[in-house]
This record gives sequence, structure tokens and C-alpha cells, in this order.
Amino acid sequence: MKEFIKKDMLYIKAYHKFNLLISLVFILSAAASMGNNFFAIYGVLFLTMISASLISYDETEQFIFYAVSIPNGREKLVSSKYISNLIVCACGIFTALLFFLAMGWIKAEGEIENMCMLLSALCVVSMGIPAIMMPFNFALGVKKGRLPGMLAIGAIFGAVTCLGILFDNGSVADYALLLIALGSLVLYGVSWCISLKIYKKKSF
Amino acid sequence: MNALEIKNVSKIYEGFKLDNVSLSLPEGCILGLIGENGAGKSTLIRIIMGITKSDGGEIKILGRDGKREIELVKEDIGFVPDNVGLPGFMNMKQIGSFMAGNYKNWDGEKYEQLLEKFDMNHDRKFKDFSKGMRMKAGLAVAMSHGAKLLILDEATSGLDPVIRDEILDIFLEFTREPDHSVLISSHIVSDLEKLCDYIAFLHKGKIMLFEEKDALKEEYALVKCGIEELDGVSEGDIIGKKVNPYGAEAIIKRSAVKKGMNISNVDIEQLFIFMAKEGEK
Repeated sequence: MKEFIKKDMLYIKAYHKFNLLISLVFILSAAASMGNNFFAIYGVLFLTMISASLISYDETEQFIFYAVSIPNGREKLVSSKYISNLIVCACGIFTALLFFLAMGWIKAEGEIENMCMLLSALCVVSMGIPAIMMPFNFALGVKKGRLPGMLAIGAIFGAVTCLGILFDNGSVADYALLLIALGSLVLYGVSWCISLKIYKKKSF
Repeated sequence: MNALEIKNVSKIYEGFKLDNVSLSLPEGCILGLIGENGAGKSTLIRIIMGITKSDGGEIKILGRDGKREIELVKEDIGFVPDNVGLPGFMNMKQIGSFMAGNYKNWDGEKYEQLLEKFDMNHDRKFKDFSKGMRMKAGLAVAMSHGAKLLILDEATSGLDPVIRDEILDIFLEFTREPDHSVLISSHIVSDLEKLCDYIAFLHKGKIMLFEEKDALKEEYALVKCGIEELDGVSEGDIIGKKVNPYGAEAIIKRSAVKKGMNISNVDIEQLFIFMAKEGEK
């Protein structure tokens, strides 16, 4: 498992320096503007695309055929993508919080409550979106899995937006976001199990 | 114990069917799986390795159930696919570390020896290797974790004669250990003829023949004769024939050879061609 994760990190270092830089710029911009959480969320969203790219590299290089011939290769291949996503997004979230805290301290503004909401939103993005996309990618391949995955994300975000409109009450909305963030954590775990089951049965 | 036992394995695709394939590879031997392009060799090998799921049949690998215990048995299998898909951005040193973390019996010293033998650059990335070098890299990995069974899919295709000869010698050396076996598939029959103890012909998803190589050569002969002479031979004794207005050429059982027939030894390639053409009819 460790070796599969190291391999993914090597690929991220080789092919995604630009993605990492863009994310950093977005996060910095968000921190500098204080209150504009959108850029921070977008920065972390950029990072979540990396997991799909990692699956795509494995497909293109035909590494998947090699990997499934290694002992417990299927399990390692799937789990390494989930763990790599967690590592990358955790770094992005940590960076965002650090910059926001730093800017808040420098400008003597910003509230803990806002930070909690930002953290919740970042958790939803960093775990919720890959949780939906990855089982499709593992089941259908990245090319074919992209569309149904995007449709599923669109449907879920649409539902969440509708709920937000229906419950347009400041504190209720805040609690709802916290719940959704916790839900994303659970969804990530469930998605991981589903992907493992899909890949175990998959015939190449 | 047989290193590999395949019983009635089948797989159905649109337009192709791997049809009740049965084979066995005794321990310490080399089995050559011969077939034209699209015969089903790679499909069969992928089924053995658990990459593709079969639609039926049983597989036993080194005495273990090939479906339920496949993850355990992979420790003892060295697999080299037709397209060696090692991580392109890694060099051989990094690939060695990667594999060391995935195989319990990884032998780093053996890996280094093989890399030296193959004259491979440790620092060059795998994606920059030629086809021959990729194959050598795949072999180095497959033979460095104490594998008892090597499964090679078109391991020599696309390689130049020098490298092919080197690789065939390595396989022969591998099977000097009594519990080491090799399954190798190819459409380059001449390679397998030099190397194999057992030959299996796969044509359009069906096993046409599975026999010991030397027994095949003793059992069958290539005859050139008149059409009337060949008509006198029982159909069951004829493996395949080519008939033209001037005469006939056929591979028949030596026991059915009649007086006056021009007889010569048959090679595996001729045997395969005649059988495949007979299979087309």
C-alpha cells in the first residue's frame, strides 16, 4: 500500500506541479480577500481532480493490468487513490486555514465561526466530490466515468441548493453545512468500500 | 503436482469464445501456448492471472484454487504481460523499491544481478525504454521474488533475434530448478520449438492439440504423395492436408504412412499451420 501511495505522490510531483501552484494561488487570494471563501473552495476543488488523473495514468500506461497481477493489487490500487486524495486535500485545507488564520491575525478580523464554516465547505468539496466520482471512475474508467460522475455531483449539489433555499435561515444553514461536512466524511468511507467491491469484481 | 491445471475454462465475448479450454503444466516443465493473433492466448493468460473473469471452468495454480486463493498464489507467480505496464515515471531503482514493498520474498540482490545481466540503466525512466528493454525489465521483476511459475504473454514478440535468444536462455536456466515451471504464449513458433517440453495449439478459442513436443514429432510426419494415395489414409489419421492438381501434402500419423509416400520430419510450425487450416474448414 505504502509503495502504491509513494508512486502516486511521485506522479503528482511530476505532472501536477502546476495544479498545486494554481490551488495555492487561489487559496492565497481567498485568504488575502478575507470572506471570499469561493476561491479557497475552488483551490481545493482543483486538488480533487488529481485523483481522477492518477487513475487515468494507470489506465493509459496499462499499469492496472500489471497492478492486478501483484498480490492484493486491486485493493492497493483503489485504496492508494483514496489515501492520496486525502493527503493532497488535507494539505490544501491545512494551507487554507493557516493562511486565513494568518491574515485574520494580521488584519485583526475574522471569526472562528467563519473558519468553521470554511472548514466544513472545504471538507464537503475535498471528500464529497471524489466520493461521488471515484466509484464511477473505477467502474467505467475515467473517460466513461466522467459524465455520470458529473451528473451525480450536479444532482446532489442541486438538491443541496434547493434545501438551502428552503431553509434560508442563517443558523440552520450553518448547522446544515456542518452536517453535510460530516456526511461527506461518511460518504467518503462508503465510497471507498464501494470502489473496493467494484474493483474486486471487475474483469479487464 | 502440476504447476498449472486448467479445466473447461470458457469466456464469451461478442464474436469470440474461449471454448472449454483444458490444459495442464507439469512441475519443472515449459508449456508453449501457440496460436495465431486473436486465438485467445492473452485472454487465457489473463484468466489464469485473475485479470479477466472467466465464464466457467476451474483453474488450479501450484495446487491452489485459482479463483479463491489467487491473491495468495500471486506471490509465487512471475507474470510478464505482452505490454509491460510498469510505472512509466519510475526508474529501475524505484521499481525495485516498489516491488520490494509488494512481494514478501523480494530478492534485491537477484534483481540487481538481472539488471546487470540485461545491461539496464538504473536511472533511466521506464517510459524511455524500448520494447525489448521493457520486456527485460518485466522479466527482471518477474524473476526476483522467488516465483515458481513464470507466465509470459508474447514475451519474445517484437524483439530482435539477439535479445530473443538471450531471453530463451534465461527461461531454460530458470527451469533448471525442479519446481520451476514456465507457461509462455507466442505466435513465433520457432522460439517455442527450441524451448518447450509441452505444446498446446489454440485456434479460434479452441485447443486443437496438447501434447509433449517430442511425442508430437515422433507421432506425426509430413508426407508428399498423390491424391489417390492420400485418399487411402483414414481421415482420423490426417491432421491436415494441402491438395493441389499435382499432388498432396499432408501431416499424418506415422503409423498410417504407406509404402511409397515421400516422408519427412515435421516441425511444430508446419503442424500448427496444417492444423489451423484444417480447423478453418
